[in-house]
Amino acid sequence: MSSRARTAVILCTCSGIIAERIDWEKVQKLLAGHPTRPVFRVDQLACGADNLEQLETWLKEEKPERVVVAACSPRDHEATFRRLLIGAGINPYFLQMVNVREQVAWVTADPVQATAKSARLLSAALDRVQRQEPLVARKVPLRTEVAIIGAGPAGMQAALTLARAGRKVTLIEKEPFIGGLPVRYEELFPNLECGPCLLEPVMGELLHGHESEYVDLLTLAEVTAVKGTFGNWTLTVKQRPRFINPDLCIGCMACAAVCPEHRPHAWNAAGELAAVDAPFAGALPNFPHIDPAVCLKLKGEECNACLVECPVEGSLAFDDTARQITIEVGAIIVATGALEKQDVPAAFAGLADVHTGYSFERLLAMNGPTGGEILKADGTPPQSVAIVHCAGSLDTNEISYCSGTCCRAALKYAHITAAKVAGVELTRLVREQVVPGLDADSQLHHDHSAVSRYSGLGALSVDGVGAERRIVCQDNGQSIAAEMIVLMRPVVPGAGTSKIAEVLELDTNAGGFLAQLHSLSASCASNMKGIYLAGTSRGPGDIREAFSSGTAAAGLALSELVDGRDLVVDPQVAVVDVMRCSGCGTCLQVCPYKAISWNARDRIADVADILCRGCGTCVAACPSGAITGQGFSRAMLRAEIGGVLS
Amino acid sequence: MSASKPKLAMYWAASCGGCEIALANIDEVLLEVDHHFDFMFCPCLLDTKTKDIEALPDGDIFLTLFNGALRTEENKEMAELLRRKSKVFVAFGACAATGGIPALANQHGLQHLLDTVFLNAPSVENAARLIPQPICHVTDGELALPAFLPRVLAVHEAVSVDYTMPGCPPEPEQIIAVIRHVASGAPLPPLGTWLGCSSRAVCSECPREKRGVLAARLLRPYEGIPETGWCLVEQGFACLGPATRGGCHALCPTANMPCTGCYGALDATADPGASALTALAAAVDPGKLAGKGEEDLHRRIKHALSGVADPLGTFYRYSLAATVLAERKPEVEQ
Ligand SMILES: Cc1cc2nc3c(=O)[nH]c(=O)nc-3n(C[C@H](O)[C@H](O)[C@H](O)COP(=O)(O)OP(=O)(O)OC[C@H]3O[C@@H](n4cnc5c(N)ncnc54)[C@H](O)[C@@H]3O)c2cc1C
Ligand code: SF4
Ligand code: SF4
Ligand code: SF4
Ligand code: SF4
Repeated sequence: MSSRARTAVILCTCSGIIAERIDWEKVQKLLAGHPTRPVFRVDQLACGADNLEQLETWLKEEKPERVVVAACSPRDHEATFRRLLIGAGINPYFLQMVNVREQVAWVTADPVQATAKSARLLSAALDRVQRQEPLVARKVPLRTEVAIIGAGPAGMQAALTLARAGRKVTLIEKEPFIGGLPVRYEELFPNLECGPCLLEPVMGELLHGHESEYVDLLTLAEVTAVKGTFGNWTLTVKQRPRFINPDLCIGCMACAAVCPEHRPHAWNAAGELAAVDAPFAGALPNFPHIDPAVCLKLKGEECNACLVECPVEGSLAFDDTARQITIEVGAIIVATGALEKQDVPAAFAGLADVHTGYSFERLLAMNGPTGGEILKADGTPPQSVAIVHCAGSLDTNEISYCSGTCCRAALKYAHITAAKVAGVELTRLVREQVVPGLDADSQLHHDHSAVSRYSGLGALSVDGVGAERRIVCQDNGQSIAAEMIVLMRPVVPGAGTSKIAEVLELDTNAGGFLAQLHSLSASCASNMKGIYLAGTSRGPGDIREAFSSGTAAAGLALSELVDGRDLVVDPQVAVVDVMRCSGCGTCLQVCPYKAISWNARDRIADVADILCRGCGTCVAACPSGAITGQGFSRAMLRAEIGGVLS
Repeated sequence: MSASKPKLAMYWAASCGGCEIALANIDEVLLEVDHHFDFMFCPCLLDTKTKDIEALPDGDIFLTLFNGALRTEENKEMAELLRRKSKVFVAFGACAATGGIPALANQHGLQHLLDTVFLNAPSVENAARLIPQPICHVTDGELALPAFLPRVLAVHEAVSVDYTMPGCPPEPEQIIAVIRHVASGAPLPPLGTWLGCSSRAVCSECPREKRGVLAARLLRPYEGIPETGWCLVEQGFACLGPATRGGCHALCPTANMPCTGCYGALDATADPGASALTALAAAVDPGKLAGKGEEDLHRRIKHALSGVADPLGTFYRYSLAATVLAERKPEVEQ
């Protein structure tokens, strides 16, 4: 590489904005003696389409080996000028931009100083560009299939959006049914819409609609391992046996009716479920499943009760086994949701008729343990209900953030309870009230329950039993009738989300939710390229956000994985000098994008250029100086600094 | 016979004598040295005088192995003299290369050093409060001692050095390899090359296994007994292997002793101690940092690094003369 490569310098006035402060004539004079002997050209609007054509002709005539453009931020037009170089037959990485608009014209008021500063910055660019090297972007074929983990509203919406675009989707759900949490809720805030009714069309389309041919649904399934990178992931999925043949079973549930064995009903948080059963009426796909830990036959005992009753021979498949499935996809969408925190605070532990939001939802549900009646454990309706907001949220002793949806859910419960239980005494204990959204205000305005403020769970104690039971609030001495208590427990990531974070090596935030690449501008992207996020796996939110983020995540997958379009890998990435890497492992620990892996054979570090975002962290960290940031080598940076100081 | 053999010299400036012992440790290869070279100057072993060297024509010595840092005017004069008289001038050992242990004195001003050594050290009894002076008047005239330089220098800071051979001390087999290479008459590597060491860090030679585990915090050596076969850094010991040139065959880590960095830093363009510090910082689990306040972060980092009682002595043990910190005003006391 010659250190005196012929260099063309394009000086843009940005239609006068730059020229207002910087005297390009003067700059040219100041740089006339520069050892690289640059050729200059001043353009009114360098990036204009007409102008770019002229520039291309000019570059073809001048035949420079390097090009410096003094104009705006590289974020605006680096790509434009790279294309210009390609058009002129010059390697696009022989370009160096100097941001004289934002960094000089807009911030340096004095024209004399602005001109002198520009000359220094240009001198730096001229020195740097001599050290630049021709780089070539690599192309990698990529897969366009997508795996979606979690079949709640967010995951289902992502699956449908992709299927409508003709994308093959594998939807992986750990439960025996799809729909996530809201499919189990009778009514949804803010408008008290029916949950199953909202979700049934979505589920129907997924299972039987036009697009269903693109959707491969795996229930009772979890991802256990992942390999690969953006565009080429290999997932290992373990699927538990359902012991039901889905091609034969008609979902009549005759088996469940006769099954002699029962287990606690985990999905209702109350009551029992037969060993062969579906969790609730209307659960989709419409098949029962068998719990092998409870079923007598699977435990090796004599029982044929269900077999005798089943109208379709072969539906019950007692020889079903666990499967390990390998899936190859280009992208992964994680929509594993969130849950209410499961434990009950000390003051309420072990008491009868204490509900969490979730168990109360099931009480309200027609397909729940009481058929939708609000009943105490003894089967009678309560005379009083106390709903405790923020029961653990916004609390530095438990969960510091606001769970965001519980106020609206609590108002929903108050409304439904007042309608269902005539004469009930209703109190909401609140610390804050958060009811965002255009139509949620009516929830607050139509609420007639008594409201009592309390400072924190520590201020509450429970006194008395049955109809006499009261919550005593130390803050104001109030005693609140509480024959039934609903604790709005904090929304937390849940085991499913924590587990997937571990398997996919996704970063988590302070709350343990999946970390977003940027919480405002890239909230559906993870820290890993090709893994997108949707729904409450990213933090508490409502169904509206679950649906819209599902669409957004699908959109990201569609825009980044386009059929027939190879992945163009930016060559401005970290490169390890294999002769100098000692395998100390420092870089592996610091890469924020997990782009570096351990090459066990050679005992050195490997950078996957597909994943590397060229951030330079590893370059600075490598104690051997064995990593170079292509396009930002030490020699270039030193030349640049030297140029500024010269 | 001896006149036709190329001359070999070895000199010690501010050093401990370990480099000479390392030379002695090449054992019977000393006979080879004698066969190929006229080993004519080595104050530790031979009785040649400075004036004998001064009498030689410039460039008459073929190879000088210069060990020790430059603490006194005399050290510097000898470096200049031997440089002039030698064809190939090698900064030999960590002290010559980057200041070594003597350069740790650069943390303090001269006055502080003299006071500590001659007045304040608990083992000193100096009722007359005598401190040695460069010139001392006695009845019979004047006695002179070489004066101290304002700070300890690495040899290359005073004279031009052709090659550097790191190590505290350099390993005998590396000395053998270098001497045999020179004796063979084979072409010498480009000037400025570091000889007798590897271009990869100690980790590449270390038999200990990396498990990809982060340590909870750095430990002081007495705080734990390292598990055999497992990387010391991953266990929390401040092993400088990741940031230190190999060539020693991971002598220390192999013997359960964290590398202290004597073969020097690898990246000539970066600050040596800073490289070591980054490597160790990356090996410690900072815990979940997201959402943490400034104070919290500060506390965590402090905790993680609490096992480094003496940061300069840990990260710059052999390199304090050669860092960006080197020009720190010596008058500034800690
Ligand atoms: C008590 C309560 C009441 C609420 N009421 C309302 C309301 O009235 N209106 C409203 O808009 N919002 C309400 N919400 C919020 C609503 O539940 C969420 O917005 C919604 O469930 C988010 O959808 P999702 O698809 O992100 O997650 P989820 O609905 O939680 O679905 C996640 C799915 O992923 C599956 N999964 C988890 N981990 C894994 C894994 N590792 N592998 C495979 N599958 C996995 C789960 O089984 C589940 O099916 C309420 C929340 C609570 C807690
Ligand atoms: S949404 Fe309401 S109840 Fe839930 S944590 Fe926030 S303020 Fe508390
Ligand atoms: S930090 Fe440098 S020497 Fe260490 S493994 Fe990474 S590339 Fe290799
Ligand atoms: S440059 Fe950044 S993204 Fe690329 S490998 Fe290094 S640390 Fe990772
Ligand atoms: S850090 Fe130390 S113990 Fe670990 S591999 Fe490197 S030299 Fe060996």
